[in-house]
Amino acid sequence: MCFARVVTAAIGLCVTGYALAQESAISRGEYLIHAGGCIDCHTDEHDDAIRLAGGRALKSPFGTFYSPNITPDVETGIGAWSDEDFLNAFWEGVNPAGENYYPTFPYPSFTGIQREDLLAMKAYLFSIEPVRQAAPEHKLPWFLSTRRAVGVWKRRYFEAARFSPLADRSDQWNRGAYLVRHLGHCGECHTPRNRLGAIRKDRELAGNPNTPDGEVIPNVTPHRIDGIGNWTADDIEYFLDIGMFPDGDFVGSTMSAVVENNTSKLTRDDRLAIATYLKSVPPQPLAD
Amino acid sequence: MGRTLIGAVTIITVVLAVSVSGAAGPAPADAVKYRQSIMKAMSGHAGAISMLARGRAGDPAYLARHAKALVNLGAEIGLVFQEGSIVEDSEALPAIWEDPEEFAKVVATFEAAISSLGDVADSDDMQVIDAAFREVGQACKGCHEKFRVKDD
Repeated sequence: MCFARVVTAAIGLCVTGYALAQESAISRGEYLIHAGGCIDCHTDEHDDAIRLAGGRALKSPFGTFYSPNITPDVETGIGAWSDEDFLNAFWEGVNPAGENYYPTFPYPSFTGIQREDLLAMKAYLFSIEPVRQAAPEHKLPWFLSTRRAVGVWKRRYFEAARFSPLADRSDQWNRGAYLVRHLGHCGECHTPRNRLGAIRKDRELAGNPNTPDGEVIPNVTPHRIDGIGNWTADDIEYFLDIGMFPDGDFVGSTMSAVVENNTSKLTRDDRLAIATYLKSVPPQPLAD
Repeated sequence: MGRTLIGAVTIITVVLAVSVSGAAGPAPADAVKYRQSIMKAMSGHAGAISMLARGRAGDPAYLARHAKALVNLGAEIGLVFQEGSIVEDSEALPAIWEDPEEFAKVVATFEAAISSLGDVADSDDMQVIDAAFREVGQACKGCHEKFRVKDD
């Protein structure tokens, strides 16, 4: 009798402990989903689009891609994915069937994300309402319509590797590097690409003057004329918080949504970490 | 009494002059220049408010003045986007005139935010002003996002 009660209590505690751990993973995951900018691409643009249910058109010089549904719907979303499936998508750039993703899904950046962060993101995504909504087929030229073409690209340009902190840098710098290079994937827009669409690592964050939709993506290196060298770390933090440039103007580009959905949702510490990292990269002129 | 009359006549004359000249409107290049001056003046005050609100520089006693200046300038925004006021180096998008309903909506949002800032401008509580200022910033962004050339 007494024994049974103890066992029941112990099971109760374990279940509660598990539930609490899940809950904290979910809220941590939600934070990381914001830090990772998932909402911008995985939500369609029209006003009543459902968050994270995909369908947004992403124009690129290689064709138009449509972002997939990442709600936990089993048929049209990621509801049937295992933890391994999820990790492989980010770390290796492959779907659960083992096929390559086009690097529009920025796995060259995401490959650096830590396991526990990814699993927390998955826990959050699996906690939201599943939505049945299939994304349209990508519109691509014939030579890219097979995902095998991506394999060739990956062998040349993609290296799967987790982020490892540098011992001679501060924790703040390392956190910033992780957020900018990997989770926040800032370089996917702010770093110029070569003709085959690979990010030019020698020109990190030097800006992208020609994008398919005509938007000029600014240089965010500390270059004093072409970049943001005259911004203080505090200016950068404030910009990421409310979208104001140091001259009092307010952002209106694609970055506006990034501030709204992502960077304004971060802690001030994380924004300062991003600023610290940005202040540390080599200054680069706009043209090379 | 006489002064009131003169004042009234002046106001009527000005209103008439504005509405008559409004039909033709200023030359596009001038309208754009004027609009950009207003925008620049607003961003100047916004920048100052942000520095004061964060305690980074300036005397907080001046915060209310900057907030009121922003409110005064903001009152003009709905008037400076005349049809056809667009030239090559203008950052205004044609969508302003193609979708007047949506534009009116973002202008109304901005005016509401500006008016709330005006209501709290004299407050001693920096956090209250900061919150109202952030709302104004939000409205600025909302309009820039839809109706300004994306080059920032």
